[in-house]
Amino acid sequence: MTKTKETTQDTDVFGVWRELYDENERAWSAALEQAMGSSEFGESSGRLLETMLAAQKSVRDNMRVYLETMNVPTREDIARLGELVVGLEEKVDQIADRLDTIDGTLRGRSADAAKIDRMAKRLDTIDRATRGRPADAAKIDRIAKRLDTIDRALRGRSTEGVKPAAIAASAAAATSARPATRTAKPAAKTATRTGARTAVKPAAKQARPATPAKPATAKPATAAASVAE
Amino acid sequence: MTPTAAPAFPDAANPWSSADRALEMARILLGSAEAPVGQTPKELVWRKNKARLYRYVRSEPATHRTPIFLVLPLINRAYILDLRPGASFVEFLLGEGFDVFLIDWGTPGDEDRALDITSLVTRYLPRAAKEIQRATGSAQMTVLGYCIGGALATCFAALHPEVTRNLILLTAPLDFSEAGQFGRMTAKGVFPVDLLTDTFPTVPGQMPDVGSKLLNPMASYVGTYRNLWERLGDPAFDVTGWQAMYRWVNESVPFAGAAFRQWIVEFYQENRLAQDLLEMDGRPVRLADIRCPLLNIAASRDQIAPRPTTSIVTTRVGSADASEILIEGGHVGIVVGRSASQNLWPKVGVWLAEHD
Repeated sequence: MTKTKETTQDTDVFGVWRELYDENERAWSAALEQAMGSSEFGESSGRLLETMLAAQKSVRDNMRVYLETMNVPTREDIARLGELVVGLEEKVDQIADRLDTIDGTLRGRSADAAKIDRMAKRLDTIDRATRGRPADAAKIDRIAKRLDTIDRALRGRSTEGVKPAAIAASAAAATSARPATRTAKPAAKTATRTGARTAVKPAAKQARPATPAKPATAKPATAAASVAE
Repeated sequence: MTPTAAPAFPDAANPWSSADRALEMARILLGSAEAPVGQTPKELVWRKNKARLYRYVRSEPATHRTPIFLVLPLINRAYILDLRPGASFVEFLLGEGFDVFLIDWGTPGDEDRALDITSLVTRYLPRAAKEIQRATGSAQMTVLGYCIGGALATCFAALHPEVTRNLILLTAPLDFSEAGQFGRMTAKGVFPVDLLTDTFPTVPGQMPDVGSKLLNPMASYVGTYRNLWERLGDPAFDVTGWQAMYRWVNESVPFAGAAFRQWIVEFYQENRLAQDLLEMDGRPVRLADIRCPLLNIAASRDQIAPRPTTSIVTTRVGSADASEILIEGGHVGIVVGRSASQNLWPKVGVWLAEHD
């Protein structure tokens, strides 16, 4: 590998190329960039590409016809199979998306169910606490019984074809002869609110329109109304 | 990793040094196709068709709560942000304590000729995002898009503001009213996009690649090899690093026909996104619908996504927290170049930490 320097200078063709490049790079680069930056270059490169594509398309079309004639699957045939698989995968993804939605809804519902469970537990706790105080429990039982009675009375009227609103109206009509005329419902409410326990039952009774003239029913209602006033 | 030592050329006056260099140069160029890249360990989280969602493996739990979702360009391989140890944006993000996910679009085949950008934005990205939510338990994520991936990330962020906590765009072309040389080459009536997509179900990767290289032909086709030649005798020359970079620049991916057509027609020629005319699956894609914090990064010498194509998003988004930074360098150089680790990455890291 011992060579003389003179030979080096003669044979270093890459060195010559490098020097040539270094000396002219900027000028060439500027010229090329200017040429390629023009719209004329864009148009001519477009035409060149169009010609190449037309030739390529022709080759591909001819090849397809040839392969079809030879009963050999073409690229298009294989691609179609692939498209089917891709389409199936998309459908599976769509099903997965829907399952996610359903899953989300169910989780939301189970969250509601958990809330209801918590409320039921609290009611149980209240119930147990209340039962621990018999006097209160007895009171509540009495109230419950009276509520049942009112409920039955109201249901009785409903089955006779009279609507609850009409019951109040008829009760008001029944007491219209009296000076302090109020509807039975507010009267009953007021009575309950003010602790006039006796007024509750008569007020409910008063709601029966069939006996408008009964003084016993109208009187407490009037009393209740006056309390309200 | 220890860089492969360049062969020594002690005697520059050796008459055979040129031949030796030529052989060595050929060896490096041919070996670049196998250069080790994308070495950060990752696990497959989800897949659809050719697309894969990966999660980069962390040795310790993430210290930041918001995961990062990397959306890559359609014409590059998935390793571009994870080139090699020491030159990996992914590695940097992991080191900063982030949970990093990446969508690799894969290599489309003829069966994907109908796969368009709308499908990628409305069917692929939302499902990948859902998988990230499942994997991390975080409802929101930082979406980071690079180049065309940035355009996809922008559309995704506009359509799914509830998922996008932050949006980072790396040299993402969005406004094509002044698209430079690419714009002239792909202009309506000049570029035969219909014939191209009719001829090729998937547009060969070399086509957009040649277009990119023609933006600076001397540097791309001659300068690269001249510089390699020059550095062959340098003992400090990192051959493996050069090969990895060369592989990135030259290993292109085919573009699915419908996606290519949509990219050229709706983005380049009709500029629909910038004009608020873009629709995907019947839904309008509006920049104003992006209300999350935005970091828009542009490169000063970017010829692929020149500054006028990238800056529109900063002023048009609906977010009050939108900032833009200009990094010295080219389209590729700012991400993996020598200055990336000192310039771009730390800035992104600080911004991310502030917006976690």
